[in-house]
Amino acid sequence: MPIIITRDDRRYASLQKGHNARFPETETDAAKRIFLCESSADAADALEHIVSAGLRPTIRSGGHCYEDFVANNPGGAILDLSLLSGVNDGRSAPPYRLGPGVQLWNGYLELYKLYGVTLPGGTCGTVAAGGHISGGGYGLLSRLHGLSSDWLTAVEILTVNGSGKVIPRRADAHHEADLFRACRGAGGGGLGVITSYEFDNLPQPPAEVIEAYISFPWEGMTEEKFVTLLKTFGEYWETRGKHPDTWGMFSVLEVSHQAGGHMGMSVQFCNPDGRCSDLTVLNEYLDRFLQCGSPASPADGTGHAGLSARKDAGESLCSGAHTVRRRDWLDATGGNNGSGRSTRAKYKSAYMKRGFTEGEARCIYKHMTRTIPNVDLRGSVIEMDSYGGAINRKELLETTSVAQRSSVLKLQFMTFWGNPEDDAGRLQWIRDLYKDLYSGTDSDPAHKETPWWNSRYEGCYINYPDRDMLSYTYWPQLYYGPGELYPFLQAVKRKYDPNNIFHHAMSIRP
Amino acid sequence: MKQDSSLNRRHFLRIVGAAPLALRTSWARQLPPSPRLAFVGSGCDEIHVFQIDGPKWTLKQVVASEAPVSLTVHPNRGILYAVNQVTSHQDLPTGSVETFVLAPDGRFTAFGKTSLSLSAILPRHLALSPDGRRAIVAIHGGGAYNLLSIPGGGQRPQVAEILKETGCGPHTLHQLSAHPNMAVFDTTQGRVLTSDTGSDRISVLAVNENNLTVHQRFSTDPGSGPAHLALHPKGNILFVANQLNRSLCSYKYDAEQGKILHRIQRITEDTGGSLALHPSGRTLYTIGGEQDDVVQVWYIDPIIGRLNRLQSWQQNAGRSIALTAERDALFVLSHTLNGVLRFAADPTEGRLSAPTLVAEVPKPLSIATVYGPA
Repeated sequence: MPIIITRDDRRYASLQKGHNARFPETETDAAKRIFLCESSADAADALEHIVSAGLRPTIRSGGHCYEDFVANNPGGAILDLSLLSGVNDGRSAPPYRLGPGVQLWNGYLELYKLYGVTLPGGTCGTVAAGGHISGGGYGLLSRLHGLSSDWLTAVEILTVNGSGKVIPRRADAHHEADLFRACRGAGGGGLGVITSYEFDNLPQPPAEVIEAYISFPWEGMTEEKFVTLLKTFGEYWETRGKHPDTWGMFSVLEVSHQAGGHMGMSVQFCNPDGRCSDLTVLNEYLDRFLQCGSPASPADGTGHAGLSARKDAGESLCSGAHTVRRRDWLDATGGNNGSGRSTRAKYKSAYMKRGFTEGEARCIYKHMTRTIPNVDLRGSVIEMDSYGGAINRKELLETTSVAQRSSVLKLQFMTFWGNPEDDAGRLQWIRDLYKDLYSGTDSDPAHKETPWWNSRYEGCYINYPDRDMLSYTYWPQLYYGPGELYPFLQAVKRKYDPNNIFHHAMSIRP
Repeated sequence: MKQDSSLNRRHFLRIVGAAPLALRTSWARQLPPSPRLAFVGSGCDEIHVFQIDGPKWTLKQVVASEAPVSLTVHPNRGILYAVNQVTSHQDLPTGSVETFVLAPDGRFTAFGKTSLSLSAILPRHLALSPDGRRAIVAIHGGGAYNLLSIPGGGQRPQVAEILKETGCGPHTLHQLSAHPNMAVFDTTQGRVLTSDTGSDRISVLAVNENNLTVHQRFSTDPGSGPAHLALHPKGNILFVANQLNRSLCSYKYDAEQGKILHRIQRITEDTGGSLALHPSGRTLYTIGGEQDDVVQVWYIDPIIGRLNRLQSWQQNAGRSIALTAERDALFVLSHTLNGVLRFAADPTEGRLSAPTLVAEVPKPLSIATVYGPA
């Protein structure tokens, strides 16, 4: 039986909220109770109870939802799967089975130790498998091996039929293939309760990786230098970065607001065979940034959490003009297991099929140097991730629910703060930036203020949901593309969740 | 304003039967006075406000309101609630309830909108407790009920509780999921009777300030699609119009226990549309027929609750979609005529006379009336 946490339980205050401290927004927005499930049977019991009581269930695996989809549930129930955190649970592998509550770092560790494989998953180690995989899921190895959901071969899922009965299902490419496809990237919590993710195969991780870091201080940074930096970064991934010999390289350009003091670029590299025997590609990439500042050198720990090539990690190595670090993969990945403390936050996203235009770079510079009276903009950043490679295999369009298979960059706009009184200023800043960036000449005239699908953009990422997009009637197409995917997902929704039991602000509309 | 809509349209009054109605004159004295104002919601996103003077309706005001599918006047007669039958409010998938404040001169202005719960799309009906302190909204599209608490003067209703429904039926088009259609408070004010077109179910819900729970489920015939409700003023008979199999059922209801006990009667001829009760409690009005073009008058046996048809009035191609009954009149919204038909009613037994078109309203959706100032 699930453990039921109600308001009078001392655990309630901690468990009723998620990682984003903005939610629940008010006490009345909070769920009335939390069902902690330790098994699939618990989840089925909990769901049956919740549905028969006329409550709204919201589904939580790791609690990292960027928006209010889980924690804002007035009077309802959070169905918490964080304790379904086993890898195979004693069963033989393959297939490899992950519970939705497996935190990514623990998943990497167990898959590696038990089977010598890994999930090409994300850099935030405490994000759990449930939300990560069902929304697509990408990370440092995705250019080499694709998305996490690309490897998925089956799910065990609880749905609720028309009469309110909980139906356990196992969906794969041959059984309820429509439901299975929807579970490969459409986003979590909108169709049912996934209690297990199965993979017939998973890739082997590299034996070792090279980490590099270049710091770009704001001091002395001019607009022209800034434009050169962004164009250099984007141009590489738009051109050279498409070649398979570069797919083992993943880079993050972290463009922080001027108030933060400096920006940085992190790189994780291996050759396509998972070794680090030939660093030509890495050196060629790093050399391009010599014009933007200094060569790569070990970081002081202030860069990207997972990719900072810290001074105290691994083996220092001179590679051309650059000093990089050689680390074994597990050690490097272990550096990613923190997710920071829970703060207030707002996020946005965009997929880019091309590098940056001068206009885009100047727009970003304007907002990264903007000041707003009485608003501290430290902790405001655009994380620009290299993308593409194995992700962009077009055949996956038909079998997954990830429509973005042509992008070379993925942007994550973020701002973090602590004081609720700063909400308005922070939100204003990030909204202004985003609207301005996607209202220029590169934007689709009929879809201003958004990265609407055109020759440059591929919409937004559902695992970085942004409720602001709801103000555009075409928001589903931003996330799922203008083609057949969203109508397909609506049909799946009507078929498997006819009463729309599983819903949030951006769930598939029946 | 047209005074007689039917001059150029074929209609006939058919007397089917009559029942002995020996009414005491005291009954008539206890009945409420004639209404002073009428509000008619329009599918053109408007509410038309009329002043009523017997058979004469005078348009006083037209105010904007999005898809006002259900109109309800607060007991203080100073607040009007309109349920907006929409799929989106403030960019979220939900409906809303709009509040209008009535001024002493009968004019009213929009005061605010209450967002319903997430996924509460296409709300259909609002039932207000007799004391005006809470309301239940039946959410047809979203398959749920919202309990609204209404503090103070009634201007600011707030969602206090959500009851998410599941259910389905054999009708492949209309019964794939639950579709709550209507709610009525019983005489205790502590329970609400509801209809669910999608799941062939009428329910008794227990309600207090902050809680809404299922007290009883009562299944109707498969594929019947219970939609419209009317509870006898004595609180002991529930009339249910079934939209999908076009029938009318009456049920014995025990208000003290909050239990629907058994079905009294099922009528299949020319029913299935809206219902209204004459304030006397002696007469039920129904809409039905293939085109919702038949208005019928039923005598309610006060002992056993069975219905006997008194009158049947048909207007060809005169599709009717809602009605409300007053002491001396029955008002019927005619979709085809784009207006309000007034049937003069006998104040004591509710028998009807031939109708006239008293108001023109494009795409009428809903109607409410309010008596003289409090």
